[in-house]
Amino acid sequence: MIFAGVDVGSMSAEAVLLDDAALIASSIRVVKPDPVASAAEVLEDVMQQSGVRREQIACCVSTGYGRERIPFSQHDVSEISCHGKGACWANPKVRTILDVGGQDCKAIRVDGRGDLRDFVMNDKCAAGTGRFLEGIAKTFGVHVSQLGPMALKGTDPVQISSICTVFTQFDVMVHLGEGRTVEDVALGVAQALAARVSRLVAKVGLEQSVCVTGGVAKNAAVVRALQEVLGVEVCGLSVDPQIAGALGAALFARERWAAERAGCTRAAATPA
Amino acid sequence: MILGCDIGTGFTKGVVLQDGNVAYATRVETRARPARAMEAVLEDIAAVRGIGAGDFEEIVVTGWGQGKAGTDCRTEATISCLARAAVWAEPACRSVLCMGTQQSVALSLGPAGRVLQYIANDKCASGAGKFLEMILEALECPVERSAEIARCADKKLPISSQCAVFAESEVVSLIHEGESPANIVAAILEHLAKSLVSLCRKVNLRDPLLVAGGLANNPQIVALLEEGLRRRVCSFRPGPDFIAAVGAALSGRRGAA
Repeated sequence: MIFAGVDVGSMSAEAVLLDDAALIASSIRVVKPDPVASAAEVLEDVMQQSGVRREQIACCVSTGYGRERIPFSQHDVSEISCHGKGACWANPKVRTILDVGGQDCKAIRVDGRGDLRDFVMNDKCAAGTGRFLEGIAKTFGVHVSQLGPMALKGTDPVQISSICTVFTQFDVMVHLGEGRTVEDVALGVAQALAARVSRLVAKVGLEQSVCVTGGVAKNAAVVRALQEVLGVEVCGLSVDPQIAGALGAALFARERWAAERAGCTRAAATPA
Repeated sequence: MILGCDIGTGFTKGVVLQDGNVAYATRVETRARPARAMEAVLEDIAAVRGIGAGDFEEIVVTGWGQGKAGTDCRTEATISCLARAAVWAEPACRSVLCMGTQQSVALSLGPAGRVLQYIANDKCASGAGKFLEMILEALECPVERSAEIARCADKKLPISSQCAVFAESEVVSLIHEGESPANIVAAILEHLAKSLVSLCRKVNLRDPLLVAGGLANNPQIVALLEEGLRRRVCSFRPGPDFIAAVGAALSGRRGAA
């Protein structure tokens, strides 16, 4: 049996195909303005990769922006539940997930089955999200993926005093104007982001192990700074941390399909 | 002759004060290099007025970059400069709203410009001049034409995000949806004025209220503030941008007297 999960975010869309045991394909794409088009494209990617046809997919779950409008999904589940589920599958020790996405940031706590226990989120302010890094990358004139490697070479991080993304862009220009290296500025930026995210963790409570998901998880300097500020090790996942949401959606697809087949329509283990 | 300089996050303003009057005022973009901007102000004054740095009895610097001016000068706190200049321009003045590039400040004043209370927003770009600048850039609309363009609006558009970064994305979507620049600019000015009104409400505002800073050049912002605060306001003369620089120069005169 094959199950699909599709996650449309503010900056990227991901799809995952899963069979009874393993992950068989995954894809990440830059989003289009229309979430339905983004979801269709990224699902097409994984079907082509694996040679799976649409009619072979037993169940598809959508999550993220516009998740209730995706015509080819049978169910939709919140991205908070999906990130928890996906991360816990990719590393069963995980109990706290920091999902740092393009436009929001969440601290999520799950139980041993990857089911949601508690969460807090910031979606009001770009500080502590991928948009913060995008803004800084723009100021540097580099791609956002270059910020992490750049920051890891920093030795003497600058102090970023602003919280606001717009004001931090200005701070960055001032530091560069004063002759600070891009590496030290990028390191200061990674620490500022980590400090912001850690405030969410304080609100939800930290239970080990901790992992990071979402696009920002790919910035190794941010992950290292989070370890420093939280004082715990951030554990790795067996999959790309950016697909955790789509993976969780595919896992929910599998659970729901099994529950429906068992005639249990109440699907008690699947929060909406 | 005193030189007052205000090194702001957007612009650096220089004011030459002679016998208690503003003899010359100039502004250059700071471009995140405060010492360079300070030099540019001095160069401009030398070129236009033939006055060298050594001709001033004193140079007083205020604003964000005051500690980074790189010139031999005295520094003065921004809040005191604002209060001093406000009562110099408008002796009866009891409140000030100064709207800068990255900071907006509301002050409540006692007699003779004594600061009773002040509150600043320098943590968040919503409600700051920089916010308007960003949005107008996305719309390719010149700052000085924004009020005029907004007056042609025929529809109220909602901007739901408080955050400047997220509001910018909303504006991009509105452009894609084919909304007119007039309606978008009007919505942004309203969004901005709302933040400024709530800042003002945090201090005990009393009349007359003087408005200053770059945003006070925008007649639509001033009109929306008057509407939101239900009171008339007056603008700082000569030129709302120069309030802190004038205040810095006045503190020098007092010091020298």
